Amino acid sequence: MRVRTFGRWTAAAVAVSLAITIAGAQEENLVTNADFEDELLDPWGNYGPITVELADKADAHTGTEAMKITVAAAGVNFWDAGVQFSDNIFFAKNTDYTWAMFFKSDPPVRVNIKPELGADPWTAYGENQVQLTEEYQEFWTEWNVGGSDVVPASLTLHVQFDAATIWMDDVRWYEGDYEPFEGGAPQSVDPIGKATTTWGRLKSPEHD
Amino acid sequence: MALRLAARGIAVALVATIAFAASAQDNLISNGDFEADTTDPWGVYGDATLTLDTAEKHGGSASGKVEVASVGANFWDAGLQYNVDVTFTGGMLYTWSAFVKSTGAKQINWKPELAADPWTAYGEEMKTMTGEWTEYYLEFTPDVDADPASLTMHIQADDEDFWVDDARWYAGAYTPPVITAVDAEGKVATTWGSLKSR
Repeated sequence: MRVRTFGRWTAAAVAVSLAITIAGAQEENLVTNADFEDELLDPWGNYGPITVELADKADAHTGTEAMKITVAAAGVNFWDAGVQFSDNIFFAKNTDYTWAMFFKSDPPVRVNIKPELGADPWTAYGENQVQLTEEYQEFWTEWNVGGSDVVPASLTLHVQFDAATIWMDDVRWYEGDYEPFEGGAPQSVDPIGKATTTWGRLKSPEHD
Repeated sequence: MALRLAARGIAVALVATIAFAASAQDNLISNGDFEADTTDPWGVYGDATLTLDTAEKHGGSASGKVEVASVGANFWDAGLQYNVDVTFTGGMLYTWSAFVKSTGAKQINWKPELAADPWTAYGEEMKTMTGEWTEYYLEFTPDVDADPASLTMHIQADDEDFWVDDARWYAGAYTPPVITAVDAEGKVATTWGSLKSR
């Protein structure tokens, strides 16, 4: 009994340690459905003359899904069409944020990455225009809104520079400076039922 | 006499060496070098001011200094514009270039555009200026005629000040500034040469 208890405590400790390690390496991702593996587009939205759909498996950066954005023609201005993550989000005052995502496009085209106030005058924070290529690359922007919360806020991508098909996957928005992508969207860890717990139970000779 | 001719020749050579022609093409911008003792026909809008600066210039005796007082809610909230009698012909390749220097790294959105709502963009591009005089250029081909049109720099992505000089806008692809001989008569170098030959 004592051995079994010791094993469970050890497993829990290992799991907590692992969770802390992961949390240290990758901040909590504030974007839901960041990798589109739910086979849904929600809560992502879009506006303007573009079509947004789930991509073919072959066009995913990781996993089996990605977002596919079809821009039929250049806009009068590049901000005339966009993709947004604006699901009741806000930017907290005096907080460093990073928003990163993987893009590719055919043909190569620009995208305007704009964390912004989600209402007129659509104040920009860390706005950054990036040049996509036909191979997936990660792009990101960092910002801090200063001394006042920004409510409502929006993570907006302006996409109507030119006609193109754009793919996006593995989106991250988190507190802190940019950290390289480590292969998967960060998630919280519940040790019960996870591999480390199972391993601990197996190591206990009185496992029931 | 021989000395005078030699001096005059040197003077001509000197002037030819230091004189930058606006371009081999016809420069459609007037006062692109800010040598007309005025900033006209350049103008600014938003929280910015435009003045002549004789202390800082790329060539000649002056440049246009743009002071940006604040960061805009959006980068297009203030701008420097050349929009007097400007029209674009659809299907024609144009180049717009200028030497720019900023007090620090500065983002400027170069936007040839329709000078009326909806401010249609033709080949706009965000460029990063630096503390060194550098020539930046943008090639663009409007798909339709644009009248009125404007060469607009959106300048309020940050509040760095900047200078602009030797601006060009012409039909055709980009060509570097060229050095050409000029008529040296009456120029300072010629006068100096004449004095020395006496």
